[in-house]
Amino acid sequence: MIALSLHRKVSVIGAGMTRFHHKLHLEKQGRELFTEAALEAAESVDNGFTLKEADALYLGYFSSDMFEGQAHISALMADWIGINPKPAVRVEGACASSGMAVNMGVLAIASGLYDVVVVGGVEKMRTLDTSKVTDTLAMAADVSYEVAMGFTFPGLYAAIASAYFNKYGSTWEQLANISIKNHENGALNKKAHYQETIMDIAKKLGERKQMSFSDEMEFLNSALNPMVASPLRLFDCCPISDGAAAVILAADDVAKKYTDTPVKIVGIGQASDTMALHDREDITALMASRVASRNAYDMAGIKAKDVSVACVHDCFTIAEIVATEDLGFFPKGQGGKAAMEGRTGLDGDVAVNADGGLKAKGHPVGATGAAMVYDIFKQLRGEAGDHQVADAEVGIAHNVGAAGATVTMQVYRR
Amino acid sequence: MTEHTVKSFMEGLANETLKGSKCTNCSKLMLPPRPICPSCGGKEMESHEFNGEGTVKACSVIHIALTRFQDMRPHCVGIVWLKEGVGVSGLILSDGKEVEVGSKVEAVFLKEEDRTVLAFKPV
Repeated sequence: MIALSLHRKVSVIGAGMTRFHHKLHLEKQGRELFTEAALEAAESVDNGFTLKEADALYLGYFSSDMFEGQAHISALMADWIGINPKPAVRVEGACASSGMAVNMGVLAIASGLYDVVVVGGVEKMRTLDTSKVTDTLAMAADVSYEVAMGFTFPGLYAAIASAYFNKYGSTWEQLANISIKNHENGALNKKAHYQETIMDIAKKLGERKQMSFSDEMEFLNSALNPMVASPLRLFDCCPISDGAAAVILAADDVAKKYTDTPVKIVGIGQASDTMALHDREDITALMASRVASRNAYDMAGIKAKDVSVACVHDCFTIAEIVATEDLGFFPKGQGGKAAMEGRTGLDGDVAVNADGGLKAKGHPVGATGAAMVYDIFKQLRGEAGDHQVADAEVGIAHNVGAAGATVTMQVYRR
Repeated sequence: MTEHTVKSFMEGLANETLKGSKCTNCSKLMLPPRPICPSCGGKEMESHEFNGEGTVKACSVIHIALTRFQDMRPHCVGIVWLKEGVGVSGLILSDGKEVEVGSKVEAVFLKEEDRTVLAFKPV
């Protein structure tokens, strides 16, 4: 049975993240990226905070082993951010690693064991070339029964798109529209990997190739947007980024010491589904997203329509469309159309991926769940800057591991 | 005992068979094989051989391929829904082109040096 409330309430009192990028961090290791994010999080606490005040660390890192040849990364990070002898735990749930770390931190405080914890995540991916990154990411799928047959990670979401198109008659243009929107949002976010609209990119790449494009769709239909796994093209996929994010959680009864404007975590959820996509009867929805979001909404006492700003897991454009349906914002089969109508824009019914999403903000796998919390924290305090959503009251972070075998959710309130 | 394991499935492929499990309690069929029935929780399994005919439920042509599949690039992969009502992943032998969802296919077994890859060809 899942309880409808926690024994002790938990808030976010600070958040920090590095910029996500493919080149900026080439000279740094994951330890340096996470330290940078953790220090920024500490500095963001209104009434002052030093990392030594934390009682524990929960860290998401999908594959330090493959990317950096380093295991035992939790102890290394605790050492590097200077919190010894406080306990540190690495949490691994593929792309949902730090969403899980956030939930673990909440549970640890709610249990009464700790008052303040640092949670977050990091991924240093640019140590490997694209083909080795493809191999490593595929380890998040069922290696024996999916990857052994030639499925890549983009291939799994391509299969979801294939089944979705077949069931609902949607077309790739709806996917392209998600990419255009998220790049427009990313262009307004100083932490984003790509701070450029699709038109900015079309002009830049076009000049190099002596091609010109009259609009986004002409560019996205061109050879400069090659196929990765049909029907998904390059600009349907999130980039390979390095980066880290950290969030400081505190029990409500101690949070007031640190800030007058904490962001309350009013609901959490997590769910699992079959490891292999082929074991699911319906692959046009992620069952774990439905279960995790319903549990989080119920704990928060809200409905989907109450959400004003949503960070959803758009590792591929199709994933955002499916997520906006699974989370209850739109009926099944309507997510793409709703986005086309502007209902998920910064001034829409619900602002979806106001920070640019994984598509434009970037997706250093283990850092993503915590980076979502970073943006929700800023949004609900009115500090998001150029991509601020007006009057944001309720925010959610929805973090998906691989093709939905793990999903985490939190609901936040200002 | 190597029944109902990854090894038994892989040995099945090498012998050009699709070996899965059948729950003796609720008769649920599973491919690949499993030790615990996800429907009823039953732990008594018997071996079940699938006949390899099914329809394509989803497919994709992979252009950015895994290291192991670089030589085949682009190659088509798919989720095939077998007649017996279970899904399985496999290569789709369609000359690197997409096949229509709903197309009928049958299992073929691609022998490589150190393993056999499950594939399907249109019928």
